Amino acid sequence: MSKYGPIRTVVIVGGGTAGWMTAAALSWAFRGRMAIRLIESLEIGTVGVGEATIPHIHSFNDRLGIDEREFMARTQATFKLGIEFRNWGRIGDAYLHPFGAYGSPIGGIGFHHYWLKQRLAGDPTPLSDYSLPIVAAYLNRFKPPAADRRSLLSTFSYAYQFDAGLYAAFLRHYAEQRGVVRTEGKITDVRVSPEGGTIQSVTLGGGQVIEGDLFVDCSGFRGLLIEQALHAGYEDWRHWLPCDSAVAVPCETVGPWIPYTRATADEYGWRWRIPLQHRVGNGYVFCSRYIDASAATEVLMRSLEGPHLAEPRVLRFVTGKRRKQWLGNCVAIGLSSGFLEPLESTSIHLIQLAITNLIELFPDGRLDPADALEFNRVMDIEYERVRDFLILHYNATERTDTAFWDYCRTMPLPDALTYRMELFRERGTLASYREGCFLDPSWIAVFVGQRVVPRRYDPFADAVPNDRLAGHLQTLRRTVLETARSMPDHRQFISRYCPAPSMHQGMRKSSGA
Amino acid sequence: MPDNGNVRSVVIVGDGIDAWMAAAALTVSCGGRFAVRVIAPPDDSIAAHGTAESTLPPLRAFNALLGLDEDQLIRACAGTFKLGTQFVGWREGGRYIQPCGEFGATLGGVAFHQYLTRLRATGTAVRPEDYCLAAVAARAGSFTRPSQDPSSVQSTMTYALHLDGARYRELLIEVARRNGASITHGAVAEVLLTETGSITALILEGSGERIEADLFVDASGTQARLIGEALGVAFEDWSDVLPCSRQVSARCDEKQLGAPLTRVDAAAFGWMSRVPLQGSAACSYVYDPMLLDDESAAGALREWMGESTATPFTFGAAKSGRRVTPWQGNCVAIGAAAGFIEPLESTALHLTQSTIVRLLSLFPARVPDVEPREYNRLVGNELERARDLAIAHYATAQRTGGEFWRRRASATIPGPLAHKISQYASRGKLVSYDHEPLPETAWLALYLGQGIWPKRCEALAEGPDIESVRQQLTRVRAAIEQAADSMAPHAAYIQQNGLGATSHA
Repeated sequence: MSKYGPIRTVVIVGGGTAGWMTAAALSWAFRGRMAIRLIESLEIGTVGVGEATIPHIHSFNDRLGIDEREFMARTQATFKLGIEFRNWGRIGDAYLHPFGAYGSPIGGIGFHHYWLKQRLAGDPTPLSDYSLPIVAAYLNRFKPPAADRRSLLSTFSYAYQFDAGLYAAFLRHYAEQRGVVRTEGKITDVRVSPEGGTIQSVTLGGGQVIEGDLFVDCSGFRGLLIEQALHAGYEDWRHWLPCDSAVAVPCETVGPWIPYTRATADEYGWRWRIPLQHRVGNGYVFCSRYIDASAATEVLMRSLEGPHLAEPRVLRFVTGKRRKQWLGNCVAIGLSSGFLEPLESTSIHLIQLAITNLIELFPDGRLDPADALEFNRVMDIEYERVRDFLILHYNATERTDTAFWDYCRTMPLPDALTYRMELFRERGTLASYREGCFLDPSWIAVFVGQRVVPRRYDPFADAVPNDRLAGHLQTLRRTVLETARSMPDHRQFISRYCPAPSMHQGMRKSSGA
Repeated sequence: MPDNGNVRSVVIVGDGIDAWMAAAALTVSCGGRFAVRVIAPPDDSIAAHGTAESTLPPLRAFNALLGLDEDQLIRACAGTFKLGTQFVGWREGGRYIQPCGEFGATLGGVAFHQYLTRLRATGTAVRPEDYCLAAVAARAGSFTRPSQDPSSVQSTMTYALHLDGARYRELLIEVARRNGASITHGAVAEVLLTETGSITALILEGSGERIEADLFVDASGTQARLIGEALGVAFEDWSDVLPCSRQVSARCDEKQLGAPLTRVDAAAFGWMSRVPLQGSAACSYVYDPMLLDDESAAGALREWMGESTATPFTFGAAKSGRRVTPWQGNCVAIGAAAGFIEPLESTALHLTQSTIVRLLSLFPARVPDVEPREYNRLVGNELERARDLAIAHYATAQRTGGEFWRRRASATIPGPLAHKISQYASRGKLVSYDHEPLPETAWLALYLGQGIWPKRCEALAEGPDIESVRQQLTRVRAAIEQAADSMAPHAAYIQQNGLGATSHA
């Protein structure tokens, strides 16, 4: 319908998680209407750190019509009810950030105010006792939430932990079935239009020239197109999130399959533990100013609960965001658009968000600057919201054991975060914003879990008589516990629902990304 | 109850609907935890002058919070139903309904208007209102309360109420007093302040009574007796972009109740509105006083209303703009004292409701500290977005002739609004910012009603073959027609459901 004609060829550069998620989604959306090509090089490894997800991934998979059981079996996936944070507020502390609410509002007032009121009156019950996903997670139970809104079983959501390399492979199959053409090769040259600002073609090692109307840069940290060719610029956020390296290694599973990811704060960063069906993914995200890679690797290897299944790999990164994630006819998705450490499992989510926005704002041949303008506006907000949420984890600490934590505890914060913290600390109010993937319960979980406990509760919470409140809370605690106990064991549920083919044939087979 | 230092006393200054909405909501919510006292200046009962309130759907939830039964409310306030606002003459010969409800339904994850855009591009004539149940029913003069069933086409529509302002105010007073609010009649002669700018007490005129409180609510309307006059908080004046700051109103008899719609006509120096009640209708001309004098305005309104004018003409003034910090120290401005937008979008009570709800959710335990900042941020954003929507009516108007419309056509458009309009114009993207007071549909209806179509539809909407889109849209339209056909004539619905106005002495 446009005078300018449609986009005829989309070229995706890079075949990691971002590349294949993009290819799959575009093939779903625009199958048969444009050529979609993906160029990847086996010489260049993929990062595949984002093995843990947040519940938003359901909408991505559902839209593409992906069958959950098949997808989980083929990616060695497990269920995830939240993330456990250890040693963050203080060494020895632990809390779980659940995918679900704590209790439900009473008389329009958030449940946490009532919990707080009881706590100030001397009731030591932790907030977590009122969260079904937390109680279930610690019992290693899992069951998909119920649709019936009245049921306590509807008060949570869930995500997955999976092998990102296998997810990419799964989506590659999906995309190729829908006409995406994969080309293997290493890009040696990028041709930019003489007036600058748009990419005309990329040249492969063998001399093949691939032209396109729209290029999606999924080339990873280096930003082959968006940065190296178009010089979009980069906003460095390391003064707020000083970790700049990670070392990763898989190990064998020992013990039960826990339905949650674990993030343990360490002396110079934090360690992840992501349980999959066939192995456990481990890593140490650290700050190289304070500890070198070999020492960090040693810390990580010592912490493994089972024999390691591959050699540890070290990654370097610069936390921050591309100044313009969409520039001209080039859209950066994945690590080429920016990097936020996977502390809250947002890597895949940010990819998904970029894809959703790209589809909604998909340009025609005219490349109206309005498309990029809105894309960048929305993505900037989302990146900043996630960034602030991550910074909170580092800053809300009483740790004084290393210079790293001294820095994090005392560093200047973004204004919006200072504001959120003050508002919560003073009166338990969550500052309201429209955008941002983490909703009130997530902020409450981290605040309370890291000892940012409000000084006062909402005065209207006093309208509920004390004895009635105490009775209500007691009943809720009991119901949560009973409901959690009625849920099946996580591993048993998986073995019935979505076992990976290798599940019963030992767990030594690793599939590196 | 142990004394935990909570706020024990609240004084509200004002006697209009703003003040009594605040008093009712505070007394109902606080469960007797603090005393609420209303200081009612003798000449402040603005609402008593025969205004009719055209409200928005969220007010129904507010009424429910206050325990006001909707049927009783309608009977007591000569209420009628509202399925939207009909805008007339905002472009030559144009009229459209801004509905309380959706256009069509999301299909395959794509907003409905994207398919309308696509269909239209094939050369088919498209009337967007045909795909909106609220608009189709309103056009037919029909109304029936929609079903709650989310699978029913009826759930795509909601409704609001038209209420007699004076009677609504009386009901609010009743609720507030029943829940413990006390009232003192008298003007505020003096406001005593601390060095840091907190209010310590009010001194009443005549009696000289000294009235102290922990928290003062300024509900005095645009006068802003406390926040403006006493505390000197600056007023950010938006009348350069929204100059219609004066209003003349009158009532006329209405023998035959018409469509469940508020009507808003573009006029030579502003706009005129007509709000139907049972037995009468309230008409107003909201105009630019720099270009039109009161007498001419009243004359124009009389002419527009036709023969029967039942009440005398009354004048009022309210500039669009906002207090820079509507909450300062221990003084919270709500409603028009916090900010006002010329009520093209029926936002007057809506903004009052919203400021009250925000005050409730941020009600200070002791000395306000972090609360004012959050309140000011939320209220400020909301007022700016309401301002943008009002400006959008002028910015998209296609009228020629006259100084007023010439000025409107050349007025500057705030950046966030310009972005919204250009995003819609490029491919139908509806942008929402933080704390939008009205739903996306309000914007969509405005654009479509003004004949502004996106240059292209979203790429995803071009996927399905055009015949299946056509069929799909035809089905939607048929379902809507059928649902609208099953509704009763507006007046009949009111009679059949025993909602006829109780006679008022």
